Amino acid sequence: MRDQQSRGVNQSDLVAGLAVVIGCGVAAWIGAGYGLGTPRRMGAGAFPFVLSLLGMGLGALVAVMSVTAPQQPPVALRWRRLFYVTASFLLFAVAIEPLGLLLTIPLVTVIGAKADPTAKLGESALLGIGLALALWVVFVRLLGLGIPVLPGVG
Amino acid sequence: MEILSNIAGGFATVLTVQNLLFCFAGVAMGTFIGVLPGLGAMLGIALLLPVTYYLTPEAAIIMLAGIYYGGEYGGSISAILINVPGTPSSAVATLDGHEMTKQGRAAVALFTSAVASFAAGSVGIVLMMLFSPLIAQFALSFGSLEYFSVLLLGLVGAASVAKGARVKALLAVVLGVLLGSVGTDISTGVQRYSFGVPEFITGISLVALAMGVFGFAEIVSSSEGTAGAHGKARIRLRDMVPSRAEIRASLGPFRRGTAVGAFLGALPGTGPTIASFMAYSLEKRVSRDPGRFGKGAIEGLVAPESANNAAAQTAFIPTLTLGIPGTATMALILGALIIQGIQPGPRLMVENEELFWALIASFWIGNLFLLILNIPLVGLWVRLVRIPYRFLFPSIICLISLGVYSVQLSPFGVFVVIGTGMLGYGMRVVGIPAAPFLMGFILGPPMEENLRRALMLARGDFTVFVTSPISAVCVLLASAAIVWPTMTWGYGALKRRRRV
Repeated sequence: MRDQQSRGVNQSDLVAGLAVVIGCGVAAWIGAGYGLGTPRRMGAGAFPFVLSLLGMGLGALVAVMSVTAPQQPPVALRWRRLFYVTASFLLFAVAIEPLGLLLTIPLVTVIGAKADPTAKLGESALLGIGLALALWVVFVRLLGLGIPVLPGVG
Repeated sequence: MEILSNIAGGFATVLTVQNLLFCFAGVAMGTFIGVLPGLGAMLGIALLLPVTYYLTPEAAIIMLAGIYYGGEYGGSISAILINVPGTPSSAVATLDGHEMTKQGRAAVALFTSAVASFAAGSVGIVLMMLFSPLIAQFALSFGSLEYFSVLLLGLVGAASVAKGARVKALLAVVLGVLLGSVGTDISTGVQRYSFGVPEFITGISLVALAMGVFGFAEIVSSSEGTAGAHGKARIRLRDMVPSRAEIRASLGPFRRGTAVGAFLGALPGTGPTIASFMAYSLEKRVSRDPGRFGKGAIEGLVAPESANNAAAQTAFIPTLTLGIPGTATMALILGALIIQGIQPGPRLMVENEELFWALIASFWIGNLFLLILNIPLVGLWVRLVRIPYRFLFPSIICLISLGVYSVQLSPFGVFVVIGTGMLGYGMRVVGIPAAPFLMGFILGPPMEENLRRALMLARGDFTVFVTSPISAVCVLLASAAIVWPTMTWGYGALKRRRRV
């Protein structure tokens, strides 16, 4: 199998390796600012600084190895899923306090279900209403948490 | 005899309505999430973690542990019936287990698997009862120096057995430790990487991180449709009993599988998954007729099933007695204990003796529940596999958001889930494993503290790590785990180059 694949740059590895090098570089820079101290009396920055350097090294290794790696099929990012899943979490975060659990959960369910193209609106809405009631019973009635239930209630 | 009175005390604690209920909830949830391919015990534990804030420590740990070993049972059901491992550790069970289903022996396979799991789990529990007090006794003499080195070995071990490229697994550990250093530094009071966000002063929440990396990322990257569209096998109770020849053929693999599993489960880094693979290849090697393997040999099912369940139980030994989890799932359970204000380690056996024995007693009861859940009720789980993901995933999104929100009654945690979830998805796309990442995150802070204290006591002299015997052994093993594969990799690369 492997011999048939052409060799070339594994782009996702290259990008990830470089991103790690940059990220850890920034972390090392900031970490050094917290004070390195001496081995006998380690400063707050010593541990993160050393780890950032290690991370930079490993990231660089990933980037270097990507150049000679066996060619991989290009990574297909799941933009549709990523979009709807992120959107549903965001919606929850902004809606839970003003709207309350009973309205937020069905909305989140409908948006979250759209991540799957075969989802039907009616089905998702029904699921959402059922979930809202079930979660209300468990979290508010049984566990007694102070989660907002409806606008102005809870 | 002390053990007997201790375990009796443990049963007395567990046999309350409340604790039995949480034990049952744990193993049922574990089986459910184990049956569903792609969703592992990790997600199950993360989902129920917020609930444990409102429970007693006993109930919390009994439930979370139940999810863990319940998942091992559940994973085998889908492996046998639909040829899709529900959990990584049941991947081997597909080889001969599903083959048996194709031959119409699904019922026997399920029954044998459940019984072997139960028996091997029981052996694991007995070993845990016998060895935990001894290891804790030994570990009481550990100082910061030894702890740092054992933690180092645990993390390197976790990275070197993770699937995929070793460099990326090591990178995952480093990134996890780095992320774990966010928040106030305990010894100096300096706020690190918090960028003035008040919620980050206490660090990134473990609950939100685990939900992001194992929930959010899983939903985005898992495949579509239903898991069990083709799970149609009909299972009848009276078909379940294996023949006498099958029982006889199973005894040897059971013994060897249990031994392999119990041993590997207790080691740092190796968990049920590796144990099941090792047990299978061992069985194939000792078999008089290796050609039968992969064609529905009952030995090929019993050995890995015994191994992963024995390992699932003995994995608790280092977690509880040393405070050093062997796998990411154990690390999460360790994190849950810390949230409860209980510090796992050798002192746990002294200070929280009751909790320890209650947990052991709950293992017996939980495994008994699982036997009931798996043999007469197996049909129910098979039907659950057919829940389409378009219903399952929105429900999980709601559970995650509400769970994270409920911890502090603030939407901030949900934003952290989005952030860590995107990070987790990105890592998954490029093949940086999440399990060592989470282990680094949980074990990083204690590692830093012990390093700092050890160096202070040694007056800044690094050589103590190789001159003190226990530490030297750990450092040596950890270096070997890094250097050895690098050497073989370099050799392989050289050979490839010559061929081109």
